[in-house]
Amino acid sequence: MILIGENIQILSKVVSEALSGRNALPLQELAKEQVKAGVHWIDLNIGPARKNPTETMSWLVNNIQEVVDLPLVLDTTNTVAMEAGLTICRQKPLINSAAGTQESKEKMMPLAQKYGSNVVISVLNDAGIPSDAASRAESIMETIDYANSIGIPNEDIWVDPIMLPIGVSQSDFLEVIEFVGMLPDIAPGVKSTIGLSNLSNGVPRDLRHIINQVAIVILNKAGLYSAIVDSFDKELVALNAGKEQEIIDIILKVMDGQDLDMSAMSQTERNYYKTARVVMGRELYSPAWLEI
Amino acid sequence: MLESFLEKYTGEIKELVLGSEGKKSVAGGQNTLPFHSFEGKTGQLKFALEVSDSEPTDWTPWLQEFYADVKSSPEAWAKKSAEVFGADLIFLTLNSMEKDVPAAEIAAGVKRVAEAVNVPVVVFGLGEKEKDAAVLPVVAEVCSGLNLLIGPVLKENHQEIASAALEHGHAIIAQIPMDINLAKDLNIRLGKYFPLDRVVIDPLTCAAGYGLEYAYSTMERIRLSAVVHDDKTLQSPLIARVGKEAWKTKEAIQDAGKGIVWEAATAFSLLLAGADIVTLRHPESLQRVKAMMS
Repeated sequence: MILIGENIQILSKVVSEALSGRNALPLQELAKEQVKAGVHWIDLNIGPARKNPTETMSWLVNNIQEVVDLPLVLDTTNTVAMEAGLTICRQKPLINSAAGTQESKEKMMPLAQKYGSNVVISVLNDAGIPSDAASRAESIMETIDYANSIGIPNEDIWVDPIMLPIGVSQSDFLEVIEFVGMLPDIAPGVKSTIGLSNLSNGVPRDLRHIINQVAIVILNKAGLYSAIVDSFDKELVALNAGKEQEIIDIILKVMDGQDLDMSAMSQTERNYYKTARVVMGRELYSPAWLEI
Repeated sequence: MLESFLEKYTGEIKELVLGSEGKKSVAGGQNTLPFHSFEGKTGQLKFALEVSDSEPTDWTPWLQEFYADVKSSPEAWAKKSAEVFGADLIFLTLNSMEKDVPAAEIAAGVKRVAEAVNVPVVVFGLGEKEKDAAVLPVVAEVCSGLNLLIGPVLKENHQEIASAALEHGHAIIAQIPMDINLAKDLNIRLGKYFPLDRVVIDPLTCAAGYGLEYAYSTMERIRLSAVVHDDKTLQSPLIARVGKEAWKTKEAIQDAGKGIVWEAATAFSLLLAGADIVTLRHPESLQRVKAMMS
């Protein structure tokens, strides 16, 4: 799966301080470290950028392009900042993101057409986040139809199913898997992506990684094209590269509906098995799921 | 013929026996969903009337008047609630903790009430983690062997309270804020040293019209997980503390009659969701709920 590194994002204190102080060094370091970690795209999340949107995005894109060759994901809700970034990217960038809301159709989506860029289009619409696979499909087909009509080809569209935190809705992940499986049939040629870390939002900090790791193996199997991830989760990058086949096998067997005998497993394998059961909704989630 | 259309569930809530010899009472003990007696064994429901261990100041005037003859004596109040009003359990709230009465004195008071009545007693602290952790273990010790139900036990103070309850033979109430995932989390932690069939879950409740649907859906999901999905960590009876919530509604404050209806309607709704023990403040709503059940 294609990995998009999420670590340059405005909620991080280091990033927000470097950005507001126009201190390029820490940001360039973060970009280079992510390249080293093995991700394929770099996400630049500058938030709503209410102050100096044009200058902020241009400054960041220029500085990052100075030190890394990976393609960039421009991540802001501010269309002025977005356009500023689009005009100077050396490689075809990815807009993160547009949606099926009226506002997004009118303001964000035309930028993708104007600059011939890639664009993330989420299943969100004016009615909110659809709750199951079928309503996600319904929403995205309508939005893709609109995107096509203004000249954005399917090849440039990266569909985002939007995944809720496991503590908010455990069954939502199963709907996402089903929806990802439907995509090639309902919208041939589109790509897909997802904000992986959102699944473990609200999970105790030291346990977030294993949830994300299990989820990427399952989503990969389901056919997801890419995911926005924590680049510095080494285990996740390794699993995504097909390393640690025994762990992957355990996760895929759970995905398959199998019950396994834990007695022969190592502690690490047990943890992945238990986590896979929680992620697949076979065991009710609780913050102490590894302790049962 | 009919059997082939009925669901067989794998999960089971064990019977919870409360009270000392000669005044035992049983809650729970089901292997099916609430009121699904056509599918399996339904649990035993218990109705508690609330008694305060010091004269209540925040109860509505209607209730203060109603209990005027007994409210200054917890023993007399508890006796009347059990013998005259037919409460299955006495739900004794330790409001004297607010006045920082010494723990030994509070515990002695609990013991007097438990010995005065012919039904089991549920003892409930303030829900403040430090104060409860200081007082409830003393209650557990002083009332050793009386097989009380003691709570609330929170994630932050479960070790202090639950260990004392275990040592002295009491059951406990595990309290979490309307969240099935946190209910499971606390029970997993408790289950490491406390028998889960001696734990009652209190997922908090709201009165009808004041967020009841959240309490309802949490209880319903806990029970479905326990019975239908056989989640061993959630196979505990549920308590709904209705009285306190019902009698602070605008409706109950305006009019005693409305308060009774509010309390009964809230209680009945939560019984449908899966409550096994319901606490009430007015005997008339207790009678109404019991009448509806039969």
